[in-house]
Amino acid sequence: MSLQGQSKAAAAGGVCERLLVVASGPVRLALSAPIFEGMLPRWKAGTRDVVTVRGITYRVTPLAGRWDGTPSPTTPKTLLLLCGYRGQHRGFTVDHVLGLTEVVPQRIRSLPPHFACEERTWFNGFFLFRDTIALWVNPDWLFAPGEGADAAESFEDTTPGLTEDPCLTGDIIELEIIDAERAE
Amino acid sequence: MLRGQSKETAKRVTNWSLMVFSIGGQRLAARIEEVGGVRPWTDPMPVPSHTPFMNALLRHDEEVLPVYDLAARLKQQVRGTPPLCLIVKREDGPMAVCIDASIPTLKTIDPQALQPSAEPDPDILGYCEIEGERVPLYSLAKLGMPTTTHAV
Repeated sequence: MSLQGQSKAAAAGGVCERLLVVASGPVRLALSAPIFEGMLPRWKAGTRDVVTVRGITYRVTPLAGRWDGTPSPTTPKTLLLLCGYRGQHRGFTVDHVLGLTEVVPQRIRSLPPHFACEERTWFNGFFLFRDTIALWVNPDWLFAPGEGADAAESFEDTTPGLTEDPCLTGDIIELEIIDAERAE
Repeated sequence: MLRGQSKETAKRVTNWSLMVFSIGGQRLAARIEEVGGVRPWTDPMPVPSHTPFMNALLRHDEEVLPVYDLAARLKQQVRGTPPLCLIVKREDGPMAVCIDASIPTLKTIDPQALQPSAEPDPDILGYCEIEGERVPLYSLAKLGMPTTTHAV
């Protein structure tokens, strides 16, 4: 069973949010499951900013770059998350995946009011995850055009040399709901 | 003499109890009413943020506190291992501040003796003389809030 289309899962106490928790530097981020279309090692996608997988083109940026953070150096363990949301497709590099979790809404807290700037729109909230905290990324913000995005999109649309790399088609890591945790 | 005792009591009430702590060896004071506690510092999780000096969340069991980086604001490095966590009772909710490992002390001052702040720092209520040192008295209730004006 893939993650696609499964944002919510029934739980005894109600409906859970199904979230994938990833590490980007020291930050732990949770991404809504339905935006995931696949995942592959970054090295398999090469160093290009645009990759095409299974006929879908993804503009690739480090997830940390979305909030002006310093991206971690790319290592053999760096992962490329292939995401889609409302007809847009983006690839985000992260250090590693911590796990899939299902969180009941009561466990999701708002950012404290002390955080008073744009970050309030970056995150839907946070929740306790294992011995740390995970920030739930707002997909509307994640997929909103950022600085330089227009140029990249234009590049993507007009560059004829970007063809689908056949070596990518068979190696996408499908996300299976096997080790999902439930935080209630 | 009841009348005299009453005056004495009233005089005591007007004094302020302060907690004196340090960041980077620099001493600071705060009213004890605005301190929620002191405990060992634990690693916070960074939170991407554009709010000045508000850049992490600190978890303590089920409790999660925002972290205000007062050391960065003062351009100091916290000293000692492990540092301490000062729980600040800010108006909009408690928050954590990392302070030096040296144990904070308690002092009582007469607020009339408070020297006005010459610097345009809205978080400093004034300066008090503690052991021969001029120590800034911070208003923790409004620490780092966007617009603050104080009157002693």
